[in-house]
Amino acid sequence: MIPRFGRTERTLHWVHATGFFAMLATGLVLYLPALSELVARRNLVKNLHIFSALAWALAIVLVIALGDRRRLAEDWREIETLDRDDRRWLRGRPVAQGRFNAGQKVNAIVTAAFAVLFAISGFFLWLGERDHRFIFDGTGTVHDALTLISVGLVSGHLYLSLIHPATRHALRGMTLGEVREDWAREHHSKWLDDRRGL
Amino acid sequence: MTGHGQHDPRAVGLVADGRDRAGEALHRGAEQVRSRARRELLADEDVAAEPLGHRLGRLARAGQRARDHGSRRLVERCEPLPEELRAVPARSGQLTKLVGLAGLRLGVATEVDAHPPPSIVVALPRACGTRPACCYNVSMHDRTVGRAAFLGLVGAGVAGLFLGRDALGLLGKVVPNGVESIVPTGGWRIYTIGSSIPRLDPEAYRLTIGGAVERPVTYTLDDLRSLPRVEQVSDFKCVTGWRVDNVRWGGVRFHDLLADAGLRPGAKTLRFVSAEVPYDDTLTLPQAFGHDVLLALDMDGQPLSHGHGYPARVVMPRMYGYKSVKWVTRIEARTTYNDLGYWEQNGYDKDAWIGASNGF
Repeated sequence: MIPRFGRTERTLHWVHATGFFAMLATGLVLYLPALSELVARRNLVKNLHIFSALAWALAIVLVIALGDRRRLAEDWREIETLDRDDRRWLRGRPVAQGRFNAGQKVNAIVTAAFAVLFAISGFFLWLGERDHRFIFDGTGTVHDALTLISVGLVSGHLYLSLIHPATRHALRGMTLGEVREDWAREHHSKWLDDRRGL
Repeated sequence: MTGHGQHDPRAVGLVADGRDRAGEALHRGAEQVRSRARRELLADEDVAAEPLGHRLGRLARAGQRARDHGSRRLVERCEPLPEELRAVPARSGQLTKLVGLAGLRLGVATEVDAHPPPSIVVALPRACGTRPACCYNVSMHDRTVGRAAFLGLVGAGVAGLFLGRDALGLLGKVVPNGVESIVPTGGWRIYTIGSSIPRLDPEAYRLTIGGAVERPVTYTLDDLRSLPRVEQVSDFKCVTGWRVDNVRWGGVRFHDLLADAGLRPGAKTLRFVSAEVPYDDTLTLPQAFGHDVLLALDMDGQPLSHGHGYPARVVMPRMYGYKSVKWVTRIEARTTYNDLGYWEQNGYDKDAWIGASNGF
């Protein structure tokens, strides 16, 4: 077994996941006409949604403030580096990958950008109701579109981490923090090389 | 601990990277490191023979080359650094500048082997992390693709806040028809605060008009339909951002509706009470008597549906939808201005004019 994700990284992942699903559940009730009519109680659901959002944001800030920031910064640096190997991998070539493969990098980048956009558009939805000067034509549309795309991304994420036989061992890295060396060799051989290089 | 078998004897392992940590390490190891490096460099005749400016220029060109051709050489990771990148002056200030131009960052490296011992400063791309100097040739482009994607996405999303209606139309085109019936890409959304949509029985329905009026009146649905009827086409805007244009409403103006009851002097507002308890909201008399304000009974040529407030709802097109109370069962003339509606008690703006703040 070799260590893959530290405590900070795992906490950040699960805090984000919990917040996402709490906001998705309440958000869908607010958004889908059929569910809205079924559940009704709009004010209650709305308050739950907003509470989830605040709790999520606070928890993210706490994890970053109290966690291993150096490690997180290093993760981000790896993630935002899409080198030639990554670009070839994205075109379907079997190229050796580092600790994050190119798909994971893209997913992480999109997830991070969406988190920011969810927060911004959600804030303006909330503020617009209270001060109508802050109602913009597209706030709801952006928030809705982010939701739809996120559901697609998360579905793929869940498939790869829970169902797909070749990749689901990755879940262990995010739960227990370690992965099998042979699995890492197969999927992230550049990472292993780099580890040995240290 | 290291794979120095693969390295040139002078291969280096990074202790730290990035401008900050380079500075940090330089200060920590400080003079000792610096003087050693200088001694080492001065001892290297090839390098020392060149004026400093030439050496820096060479370094910059090497950085440029590394940037241009770098990614092609990624597969040859862990090869030794080229001479230009390894042996450079320890005057990091100048170096940083030039290296920055060349698209590289400064790193601090030490010899992997114990001898020759001196530490030297090398230029390394940020992407190398704390790993050995094996991926020194990652290009600038590689490193910024992800960040550009991140910033681009955020920028596009923020722009989308202001380009919303076009985006909505686009989304409507992209989403297949079958999905559109489940996912609203346009059109109405039905919001209720109770546990379900009120379904009022037309036989049992009564609208009472009371408060500051001369004679309290109770109307049946048939009574309402016998009052002078008007039609209008107006847009409906929700405070949450969606809108429906050109809705055809049919109903009664409040002037006609209140004719029998008669307002007492001193009446200032009308409070509309919904069958959806505890929903209510208030319009001032000038607002309620506006040319485009009515108690609607019909929508788009049909009686209101249950979702839209059957059998009677307020329509005030110049204000956000929460002022247009649905399932109205009571209208109360009030002598004060200070009633807060349901959503207003929950933080919504009492002033619901669309697009402007005119005061209540």
